[in-house]
Amino acid sequence: MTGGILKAPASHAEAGPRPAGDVARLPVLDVRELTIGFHTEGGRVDVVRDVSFSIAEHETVALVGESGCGKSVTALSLARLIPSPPVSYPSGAIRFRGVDTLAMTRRELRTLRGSGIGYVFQDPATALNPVFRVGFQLEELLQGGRRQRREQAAALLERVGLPSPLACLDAYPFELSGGMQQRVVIAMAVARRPGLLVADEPTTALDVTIQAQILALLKRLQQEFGMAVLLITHNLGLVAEAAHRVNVMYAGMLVEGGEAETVLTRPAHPYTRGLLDVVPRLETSGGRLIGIPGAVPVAGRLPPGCPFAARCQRADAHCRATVPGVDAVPGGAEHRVRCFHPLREREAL
Amino acid sequence: MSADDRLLDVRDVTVAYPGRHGRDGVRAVNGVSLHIAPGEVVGLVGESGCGKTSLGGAVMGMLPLAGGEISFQGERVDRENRTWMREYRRRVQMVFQDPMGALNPRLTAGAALEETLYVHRTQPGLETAPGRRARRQELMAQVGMDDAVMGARYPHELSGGQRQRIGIARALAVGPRLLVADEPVSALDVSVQVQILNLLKDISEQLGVACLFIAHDLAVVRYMCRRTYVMVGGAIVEEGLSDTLFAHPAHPYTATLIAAVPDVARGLAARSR
Repeated sequence: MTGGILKAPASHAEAGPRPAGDVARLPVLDVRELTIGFHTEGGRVDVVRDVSFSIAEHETVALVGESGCGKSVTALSLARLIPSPPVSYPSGAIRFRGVDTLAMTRRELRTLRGSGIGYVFQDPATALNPVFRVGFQLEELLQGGRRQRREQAAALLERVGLPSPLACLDAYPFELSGGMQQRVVIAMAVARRPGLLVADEPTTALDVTIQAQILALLKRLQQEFGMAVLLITHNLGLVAEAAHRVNVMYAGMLVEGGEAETVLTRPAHPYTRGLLDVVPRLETSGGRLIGIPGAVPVAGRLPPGCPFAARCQRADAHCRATVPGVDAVPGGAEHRVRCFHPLREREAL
Repeated sequence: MSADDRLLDVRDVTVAYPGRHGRDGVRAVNGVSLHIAPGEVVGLVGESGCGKTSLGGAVMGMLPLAGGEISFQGERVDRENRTWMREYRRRVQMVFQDPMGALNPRLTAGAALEETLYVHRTQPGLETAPGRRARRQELMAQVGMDDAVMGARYPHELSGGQRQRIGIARALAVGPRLLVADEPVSALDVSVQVQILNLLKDISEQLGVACLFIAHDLAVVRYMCRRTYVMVGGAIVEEGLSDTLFAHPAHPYTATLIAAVPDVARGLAARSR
C-alpha cells in the first residue's frame, strides 16, 4: 500500500542529468534547522545541531564528515530509524515531499520506510540476514503472488548487474562476495522505487575496484529512477566523482555547503580546506602533508564556541566563545559557511 | 644493492592454509619474493584477500612457511629455534590496524608500555623499574604524547590517533630494526591519518627503522614508501620505485587499481569534460 502523500509525482519519467537552476521545484527532502539529541544519564546530548539541507529529484547531495560527526545519525533520523527515546528532536523539521516526518503517525512512518526512503548501509554482510536466502529477503518487500514476486526479484537483481539472478535468489548472503552482497542490498533499497536513496558509506567496506563499480551502479539507478540521493561519506574523492552538492559536517554541525565543484576548489571553511589538504593524493609525490592537529571533539564535551576552534589556526577569542552563524560566501551561488574567518579564494591557511 | 645489504630478504615464500573437512586448502601467498634495505620504507598494496596480511604474518614469524625462505640480516628465520626467535621478535615488531583491539583495555597506556619493557627486562637499561619508567617516558615523548597526562589513561579514554601512537610506541619499545605496519591508519579518521603517517615517517628517518607498510590505500602508500610491491591473488605482479610505478604502471592490474581510486582532482576533471 502506498500512501497518497508519498506517491511519487508522475513527472519523473524522463531520466538524465539534474535539471539546472530549477530551484522552484519542491525538494524531495528538506531538512530545516534540525537538532537531534540523545538522552543519556548525564542529560540530553545534542549530537546534531541546527542542520539544514535539501535534496531535489535527480540530485546527489553528499554529507561529508569524520566518524562521530553526526552524519549517520542524521541519515537514520530521516526515516526515524533510531528509537525515540533515547533520541529526541528538540527543534527543526524533516520534510519528505513536503510532509514533516517528525509529526508522522506510526502508520505513515511504515509507508515512508517501505517506499519513501531506501537505505544502503556500509557493510552489506550485516545489512542482510545471514539465515535467509537472498530471494526470500528481497521478495519480502514486493507485492503480488509468489511467482510474480520471484520474477520481480530476479528482474531487480538483473537490474543491479548481478550476472545470474536466479542463482543469486537461491544463495545465502555468505555465498556472495562483498560487492555482490552490496548489489543485493541496493536492489532491496530501490525495490519499491523510493523517492530518496540514502547511501551511508556504501563503498567503504569494499575493495577499490568494486567501489568504482558500485558507485557507477548507484549513478545509473539514480538516472533510471530519478531518485534523490543522499551520499554519506568521509571520502572527498567520492564527492568529486558523484555529488552535485556537498555539505561538510563537523561535530554535529554543518560547517560548509554548496556546489561540490565550488566547495572542493574554493573551500571557505578551514576544516574543509584542511580535509582537502591532509588526504594523500595519487598524483603527487614527495613533499610533506601537514595534518590537522588534535582530534575531533566528543559529542557532549563540546566547547562553547565554534567546534573546530581548538584545531583551527585562524581561531581567536571570539571563535572560542560564540558559535558562528551560517553566512553566504561571496561569489558562490548557494555557497554557505559557518565561520567568522572564512578563507578567501586561494588563501593559504 | 647486493643481497648482503638486505635487512630482510623474502625468497619464493609460500603460505598455505590447510583445508578442513576434506576441502582443499588455500595458498594465500604463492612464491613471493621481496626485500627491504636497512631504514627503507617499503609498501605492499593489494585488495582484501590478496595475501598481504598473510605475508606480513610470515615475515613476523607468526605463520609457518609452506615453501621458500625468509632471512633477516643474513640469518634464516627459523621458527623452531626459540632462542633465536626471541631475539628476532625484538628486532621485528608489528603495528596493528585497530589499536583498540591491540591494546589491553584494562591497562593504562603507560602500563601497556611498561609491560612490554618488563618482558624484555634482560636488556641493558631495562633491568630495574626506574630504568623501565625512564624508557617509557622517552617512548611517549618519541610519539608526541605527554606521559604525565596520557600515560595514566586507559585505551577507551584516548582518541583513535592517540591509541595508535601508543601502539607505535609499544612497537618501538625494544628497539626494532623493522616494523611491519599492517593497515596502520585505515581505522583512523582522515584528519588524523596524516599525523600518524608523518610520525611513522619521522621515526623511520630518525631511528633508521625499516618498515614494511601494508595497505590497501594506494595514495597513502605512495606518500609513505619509496618502493612499492603490488600483490594480487597471492603473488606479486609489479614492483618498483613508487614514483615510477604510480605514474607509469606496467601491469594492467596496477593500472586498474590506480584508475579505481576516487580522487578529488580526477573527479573534478571528469565533470568539467
